[in-house]
Amino acid sequence: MAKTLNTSNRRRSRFNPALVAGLALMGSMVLVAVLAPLFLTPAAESLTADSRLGPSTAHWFGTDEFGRDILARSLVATRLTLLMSLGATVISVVGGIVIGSSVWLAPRWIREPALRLIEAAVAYPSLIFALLVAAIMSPGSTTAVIAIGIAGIPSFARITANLAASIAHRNYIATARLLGVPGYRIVTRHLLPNMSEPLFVMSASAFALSLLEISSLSFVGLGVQSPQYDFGRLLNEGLIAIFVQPLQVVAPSIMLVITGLAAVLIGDGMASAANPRRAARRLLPTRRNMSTPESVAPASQALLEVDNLKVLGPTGEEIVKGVSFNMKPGEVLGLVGESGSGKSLTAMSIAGLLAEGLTATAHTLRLGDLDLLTTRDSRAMALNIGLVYQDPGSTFNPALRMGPQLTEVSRVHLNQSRQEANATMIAALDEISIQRPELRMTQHPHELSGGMLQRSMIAASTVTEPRLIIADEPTTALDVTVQADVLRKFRRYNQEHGTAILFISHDIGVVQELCDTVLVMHRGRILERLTGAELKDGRAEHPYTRALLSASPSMTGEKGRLRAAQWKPDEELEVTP
Amino acid sequence: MTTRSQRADEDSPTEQTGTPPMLSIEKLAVGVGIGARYLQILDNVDLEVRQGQTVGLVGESGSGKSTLAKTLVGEMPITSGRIRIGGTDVGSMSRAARGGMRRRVQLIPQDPYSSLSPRRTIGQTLAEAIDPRRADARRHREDIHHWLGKVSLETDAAERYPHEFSGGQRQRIAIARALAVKPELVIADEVTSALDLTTQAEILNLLADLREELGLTMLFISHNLAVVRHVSDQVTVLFRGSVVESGDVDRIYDAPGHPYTQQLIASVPGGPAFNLDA
Repeated sequence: MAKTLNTSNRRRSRFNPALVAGLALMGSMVLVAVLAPLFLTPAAESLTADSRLGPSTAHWFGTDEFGRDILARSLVATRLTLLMSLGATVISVVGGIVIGSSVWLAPRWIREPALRLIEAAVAYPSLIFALLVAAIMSPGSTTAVIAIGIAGIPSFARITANLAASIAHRNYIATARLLGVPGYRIVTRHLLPNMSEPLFVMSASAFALSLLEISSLSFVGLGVQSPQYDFGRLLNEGLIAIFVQPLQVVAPSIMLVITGLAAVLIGDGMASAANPRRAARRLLPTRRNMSTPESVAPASQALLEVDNLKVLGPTGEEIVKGVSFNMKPGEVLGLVGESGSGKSLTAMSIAGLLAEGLTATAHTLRLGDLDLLTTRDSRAMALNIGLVYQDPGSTFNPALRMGPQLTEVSRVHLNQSRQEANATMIAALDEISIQRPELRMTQHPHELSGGMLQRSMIAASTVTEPRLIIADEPTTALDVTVQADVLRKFRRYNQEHGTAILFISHDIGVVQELCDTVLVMHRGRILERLTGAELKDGRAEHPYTRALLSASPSMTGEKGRLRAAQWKPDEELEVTP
Repeated sequence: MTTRSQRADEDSPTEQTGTPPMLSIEKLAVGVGIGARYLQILDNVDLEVRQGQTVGLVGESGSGKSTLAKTLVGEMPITSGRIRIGGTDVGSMSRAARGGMRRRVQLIPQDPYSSLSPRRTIGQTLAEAIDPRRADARRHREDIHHWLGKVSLETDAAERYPHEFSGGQRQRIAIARALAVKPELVIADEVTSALDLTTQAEILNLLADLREELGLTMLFISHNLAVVRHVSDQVTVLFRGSVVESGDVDRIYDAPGHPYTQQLIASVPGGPAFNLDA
């Protein structure tokens, strides 16, 4: 499922509108920077008698006090401004990366103080630091570049150190150390290539910032000195006459805004291209397949009837290729298969919880008298189907207490008061042998063990007395002793309440113990239907099921080679459950 | 099954009198934090792996299995006790000597997705294992092809990137990388937990073949009791940082002595002692 979603994301172009606009704007600024000094220098720098002229066809933005064309000056200034910003950015990025990765390489007793020092430096306003440097050294364009460049180093060093810290946890870094790769090699071979994307994005933003700070420095007179000029210097010169000739500051301001915008757009564009949005799971009604006739002989006594269910991916490919099965009331049905078999998608289609981009079609999809294909009644769904998910750690919101989360369904859909809902929930928790249920209701999820969370989840799924519980790999994340306990709870609940359970698992051992009936799935099809007892005795007919059984290591001590499944399914193979 | 346990029995007298065990852990304690915030993770752990043997280490989450693996490869400091590898005490070694020790012990990590750098070809990754300083994929072409062949991958895999491989193939590459160092001790940390059943079978078969061919000495860490029984000669059961039981794998699985081991073995669905109605 995740695989399909990823491909659809990857297919999306990496060039989004922001990136295209940014690159176009920056491209034209670079063109101006290259061409303007070649052709416009005389107009921009030769002194004429046309002092302080207003806008005219000859001088679109007028002239300054020495009779120089303001537009020409603004265009010619682009080159120096861009070069200075670029220089400062390079200093910040290179300096930051070197310092950031050295900090990461340093022993712990240096690393921690160094990180605190960098954080303090980030907190100190960089422009004030740059002013200090510029004031100490003699003002000029080189000083400005160095000052702004150095001022930008701490933030880059911190980003590099943070990125390095997050990548350092990945196994390939640990493995490289174990192989005896020297530290600086780990940085150049593994760290930097794997954080290049965020660093590029940050560099674009750093460029925009350098541009602004260098212009500010020139504007206050500590940057570029006459006769050189950049945008900031032009603004500084225009300020004197701002009331008589406001247009003199407009031209460099426009150039400054365009350049800054281009850099920011490129940064944003690269960021969103590098980080494709994740598709969220939402309630999507299953669609009836209108082109196929209704099932002729509905199994009337069946609780759940699934007839020719297909799940289609975003591009219309079939992921679940037409599965049909019935469940009797009180039956425990296992769906077993390897990853990509479509077992979870089948279950989620029944629950009406398919990920965005996936659609389900079927002849019939019915739970009792509730038509699961057409219903949009979330109340009926919540009351009829109880859900238990795989990972008890991420099912609950860590910020909320257990009580409100567990009683949500009863309060919203059964219209129970808080007291009633709490009482029902405490009884349900008690039934599933959770010690001191009143206390658990007031605790946060992290205060409970994984097994306790999963049992609470089962209790919550049973308070509406649903007709069907769908459990998607409910014990996969649990330890084996806890798993045995949770499986016993499922078994007991089924026997005492007669609730049907649809149990999804990749573990043959688990389904053969718990389930009355087992459906073996592979690549979107049901290959075999057999009873749990048959599976336990190894009485499987289908070659794939037999392959799965012979690939399972045994607890009884046979140590021969495992027969890894070599069975390749024929895509056209007609298989009836 | 019988041949293997017989061989272990025959080996033991000579091993005890002759060469020291490949790995010997005595009264090992490992913890994190200092002073009042000190937390003991491993306590009084004894373990021995002899040349050519595979020892299984089982335990549930929080038992300290991974901490032991990290301590063995030098990622966590020893609080007290002793680890000897090939007879040399790791704790008393100088910093430089410990660096050299690192290549004698190799770890095959659990997750085949995060253990390969996405920006490097398989050839470059293997070259780094062969020569960590230069890591030149062209110079070590023959070695790389040799190791790819050992794990049944085509030689053209060297030119490709990790994302082009399935989980099982990536795990084969991780195994090739660990073995290319020619380590004296291999630590396999949950190497099949992220894999499907049939892929797990392939990897277990591959490890069995390599063991026979190269005489690997292995510490096999897993939470999956059936897998541990399948691959190990000896087994050690960890519970909350301490060893509760250790010994010959068949003896422990068939007649567990400690109540925790009994509970653990009875909890495996599909096992003979499993009962849901208990």
